[in-house]
Amino acid sequence: MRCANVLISMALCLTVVGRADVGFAESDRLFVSNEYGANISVIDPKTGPIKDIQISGRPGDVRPRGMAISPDGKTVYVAVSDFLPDAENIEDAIVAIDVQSGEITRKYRAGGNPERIAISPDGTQIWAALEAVALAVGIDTETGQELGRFATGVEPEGIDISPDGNFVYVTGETSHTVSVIDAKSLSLVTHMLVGNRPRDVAFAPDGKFAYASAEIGGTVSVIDVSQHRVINTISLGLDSRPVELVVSGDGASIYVAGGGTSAIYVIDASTQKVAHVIKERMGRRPWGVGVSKDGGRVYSANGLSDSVSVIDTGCMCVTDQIKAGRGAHSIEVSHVE
Amino acid sequence: MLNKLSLSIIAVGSLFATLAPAKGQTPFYDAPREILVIASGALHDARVRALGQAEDDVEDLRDLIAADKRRMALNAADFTPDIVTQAAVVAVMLLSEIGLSEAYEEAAEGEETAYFQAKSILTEIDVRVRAITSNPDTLMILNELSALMPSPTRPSRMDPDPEAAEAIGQSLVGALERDVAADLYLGRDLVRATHVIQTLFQDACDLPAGATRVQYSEIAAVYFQDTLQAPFSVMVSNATETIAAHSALVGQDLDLDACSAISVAFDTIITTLFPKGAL
Repeated sequence: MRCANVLISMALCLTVVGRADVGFAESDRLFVSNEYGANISVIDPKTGPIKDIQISGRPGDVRPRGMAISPDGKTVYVAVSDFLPDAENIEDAIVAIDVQSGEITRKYRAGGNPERIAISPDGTQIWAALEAVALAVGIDTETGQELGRFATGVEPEGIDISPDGNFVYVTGETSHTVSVIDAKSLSLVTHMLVGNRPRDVAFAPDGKFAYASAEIGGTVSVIDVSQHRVINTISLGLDSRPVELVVSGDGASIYVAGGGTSAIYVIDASTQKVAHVIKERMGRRPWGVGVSKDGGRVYSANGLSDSVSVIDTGCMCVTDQIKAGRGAHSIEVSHVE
Repeated sequence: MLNKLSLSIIAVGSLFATLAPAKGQTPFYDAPREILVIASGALHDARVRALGQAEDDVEDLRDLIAADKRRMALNAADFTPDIVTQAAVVAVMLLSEIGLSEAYEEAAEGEETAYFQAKSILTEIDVRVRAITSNPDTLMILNELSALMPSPTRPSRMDPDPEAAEAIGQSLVGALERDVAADLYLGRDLVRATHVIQTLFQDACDLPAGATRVQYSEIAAVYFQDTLQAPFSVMVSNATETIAAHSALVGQDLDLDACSAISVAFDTIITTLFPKGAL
C-alpha cells in the first residue's frame, strides 16, 4: 500500500498527497510487470495499487517483463518467458490484457524467450526481442500470424518501432549493437555498433532520432534514423548504469533509468546533455521508466525495492513511492479520461 | 632538507603514480596479461578447493584448473599491482567467461560442482573486495552476491534467474569503479580493446612453440571471448569466426597458419568497423 509505513511517513504522505492533488489534474494508470511475482500491478498513482493481474500461478518460473500499450489504450501486451534464457519454452509468449477488465484476452506464441516488445503506431503489429535465439519476431495482432523472424545482435533486448511504422530497432545486449528491420518490406536493413551492453532503444516522437542506452558504456547513443547511423554519444558518467529509457511526448526530454546506480538521468534532447540526475529518495535499482502523457510525471519501476518512484518533472524530484510487486521490471503509463 | 621518510614517501608516491592508471582509464590497456595472471592464481586456488568438494563430473573443472595453472605460471614478479589493478582482477574473477558468473549460471541450471566452484570463487572475491574498499554501498552489493549462495552445498531452490550473479556482479564492478575512480571494463572502448587483444595474439604468435606460447595464446583467447567475439560476430561474422576458431579457453596454441589467419581477420575487422580509427 502506498505510504504503508505510516509511523515514518505520515508527514511525508500528507505532503505528497497535497502535491499529488495539484499535479494529477488528469489521471495516469500504471502497469508494472513483476518478474518474480509473475504478475502485473495496476496502479492509480493518486490512490495507490488497484489490483494485481496474475500472469501465472508459478512465480519464480514464469517471468513477465517488457510491455506495450495499444494505441487506443485498451490493451496491454506483456512479454512472458521463463528464467532460462537459452531455452525455448511453452511459456514464451506475448499475452494481451484488457485494460478495463484486467482479464487476459489473448496469447500469441512467440518462442525464444521474449524480453521486450513494441507495438506499431497503428496497432496492427507487435514486435518482440527474442533473447534466447538472437531474433526479432513480428506478429500480426489481428490474425496472430507471424510476419517474420529477423537476425539481431546477441541477446536482443530493447525494441521500438519508429513513429511512421517503417522501422524496428532492436538492441543486442552482448554484441553492443542496434539492428534495423524494415517493418514494411519485412527485411533486415543493417546492424550498427553502439555503446557497451545496450539495454533499450526509443524513438523520438518526430522519428528523426532514436536513443539507445548502454549499461556498461554509461552512455546514450543518438542515432540519425534517416541514415541509421550513430551521430553522437551522450556520456552519463563512468558510474552510471543506464537501462530502460523513454522520450517525453514533446520530445524535449529523455528519461533514463539508472539501474544499479538507483538514479534517473534526465537528458535535454536539444542540447543532448544530461540536465538532471535524480537520486534523492529513489527506489533501489530502477529498471523501467515511463512518462505521463502531459509530461508532468515520470515513474520508475524499482526492481530491488519492489516499488514505483513518482517524479514530479517540475522540481525533478521524487514525490512518492508506491508499492509494486516482487521484482518490478518494466512500467507503462496509460491515460485515463 | 628532506629526511629519509620524506624520500620514502616521494618514492612510494612516484611508484604509485607510475602504476596507477589515470582517472577513468582502464588498467587493461597497460597490464592485460598481468591482470589475468593474478586472477588465474586466485581462480586456481578457488577451483582446487571446489575440486576437493566435488564428487563427480569434474573433468571440465580439472581442465579449467590446468589452464589457470598455466596462466599463473607466467612470471609477473616484477609487477606490483596497485588498487586499481586489484579491482580489475576482481572484475575478471566476477564477469569473465572463466569466472564466477559463468560458474553460477551452470550451478543455477543444476550442476552441483559448479556451485562449489562459484561459492569458492566468491570467497576469494570477498577477501579482495574488502581489501580494496570499505564503502558500505559496495559491501552491501557484495552481501547480495553472497546471499545467492547461502549454503556450503547447492540449495534445492536457487534464485530463479541463472544470470542473477552476473547482474549483481555488474553492479559490484560498477561500485568498484566508483571506489577506485577507474574504468574496469576492457570493452568499454571497443577500438582500444581491439588493439589490445590484437597485440595479445601477436605477442603469442611472436613466440616459438612451447609452453609460454600456449600461456599467451590462452590469455588472448580469454580476452577475445570476453570482449570482442559477440560484437564482431554480428558485424563482421566471417573474420570473427576465424579468430574464434583459434580462441579456445583451454588448451589453445597458435601455429603459423593460425597466426596468419588471425592477423588477416583482425585487419578485416579494423578496416570494416574502424576505418577512421574510432567508433
